[in-house]
Amino acid sequence: MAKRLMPKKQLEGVGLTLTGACVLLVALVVIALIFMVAQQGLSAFFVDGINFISFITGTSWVPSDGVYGALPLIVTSFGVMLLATLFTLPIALGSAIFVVEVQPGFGRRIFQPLVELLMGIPSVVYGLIGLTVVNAAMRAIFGEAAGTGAGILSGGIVLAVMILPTVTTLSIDGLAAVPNEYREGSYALGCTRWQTVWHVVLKSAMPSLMTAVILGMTRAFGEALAVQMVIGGVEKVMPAGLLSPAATLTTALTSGFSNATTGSVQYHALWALGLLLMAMSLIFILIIHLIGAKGAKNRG
Amino acid sequence: MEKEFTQTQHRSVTDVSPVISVKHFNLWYTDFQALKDISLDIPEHRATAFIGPSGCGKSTLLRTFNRMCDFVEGVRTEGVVEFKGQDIFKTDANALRVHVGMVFQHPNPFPMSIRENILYGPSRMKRLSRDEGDQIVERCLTRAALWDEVKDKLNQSGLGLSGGQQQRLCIARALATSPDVLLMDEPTSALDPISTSMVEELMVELSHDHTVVVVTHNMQQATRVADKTAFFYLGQLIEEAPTAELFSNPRETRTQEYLSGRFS
Repeated sequence: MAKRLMPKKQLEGVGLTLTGACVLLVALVVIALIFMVAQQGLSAFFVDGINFISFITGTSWVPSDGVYGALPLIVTSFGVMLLATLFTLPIALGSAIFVVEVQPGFGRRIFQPLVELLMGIPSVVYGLIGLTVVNAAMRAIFGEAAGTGAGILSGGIVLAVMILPTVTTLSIDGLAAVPNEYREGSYALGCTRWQTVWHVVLKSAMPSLMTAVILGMTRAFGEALAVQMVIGGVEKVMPAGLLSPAATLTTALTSGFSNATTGSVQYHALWALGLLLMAMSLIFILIIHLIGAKGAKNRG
Repeated sequence: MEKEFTQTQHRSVTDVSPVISVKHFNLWYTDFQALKDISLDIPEHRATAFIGPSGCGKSTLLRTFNRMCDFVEGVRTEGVVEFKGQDIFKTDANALRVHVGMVFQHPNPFPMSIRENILYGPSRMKRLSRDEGDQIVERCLTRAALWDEVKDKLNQSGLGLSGGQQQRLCIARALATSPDVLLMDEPTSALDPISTSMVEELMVELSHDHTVVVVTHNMQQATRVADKTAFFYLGQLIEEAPTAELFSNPRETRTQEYLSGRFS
């Protein structure tokens, strides 16, 4: 038998200290992160004197001229996110229903692992494919109106493909978690498979489906690289339509930082964008928690 | 004060026409034969109990009556099961299930309001007005002896009820499609004694204008509830008789042995 290195009691203490330290570290990182983003972002308003209202509602973003109106970026960010959700949701839900309700064997063994494989593809690859395939398709379909093909619609499509695996696999898990007793109960009342799916399965899986969608939206909202590659990303005013090139909060950040001197107004304004992004993500996470709590309550 | 419930009078089952008729019926799960050459009549507007040890096929036969066994992978049947003279395997399963309702072992109300639970079946078949809906809800809940307990919270979730109430809600839900036959698969095995006695009383009451078929592990339940009892063992129908006769005077030795508790 191996010799015990330390008395048992002392060993317990070490375990407690180590795991406790890990918790402390995580908490510290989170707090430090929020603090730093908030401090840097808020100095745009409190130190550099940018008006918060005009920052949120201003319709042009030209940092080199000292014009900081983030509304075009906010609108574009929400635009691509909603487009991506709109494209993804029916496909994700449709395949999840097929996989869980129609062909569980094939779905669980082949389809879901395949989809999960897609989740690991780096976003730059999605961007690259978007640049060559989606933008070219935009030009082919809309011709002159699409310009280079870069625009909000392209961004939405690329993001849709990117979040599709997440939303699909979470939807599958959500549907699969619906107790079989509900299905049996519905069939026993003479209902068809689709009546059962529509009225019982989807309804009782609603909280997990909502979570799936919102997680997808969060990812779409926060994605920078892939979007930057297909959306144009240098525009300064309100986008005119789905085909017009634009910039999101994230792409304005990535493209803006290289031109900003540390400590300048422009630098702080970019941090303010970061703060805005972080606040939005926190709100999304909060919504997920609220839905989860409501779901738990409904289940009695 | 809960009254001890016993059915005083078993009704005759011999001069009643059968609503379900099983003729030389065999059923396999892939290679395993779960039912062997079963022939049996289920008398109309009577309560029939299936008893027997676990794995004897009683639940399988019950689930054949509304073709819930269709969902089991690798299931294969031979022989005839008639519902009102029609071969059930040649009719639409969904239409059959409207007429042959089922209550399960574990109460399984949908995660919806009590009202929505009751109206789930009927509103799949036709559009209901508010009034029609109210009538169905009150009629079924009253019939299932649940109305007084829930009439003030019809819009609350069915999952908030106690186990016994949930099971009665499931009975009410099954009644909402106005079925001729009510299949009950060990409906009280997950319930406390008081709820059990309420559900048993309900089965007897319902059997006056519905045909009730109940699978039970509890032999006393069969004597309390059923007019006719069938004993199954290893996939075979060993004996079927009016309940009083089967319990007091079993013909087969295996029935005697089971009733006297020599195996279970």
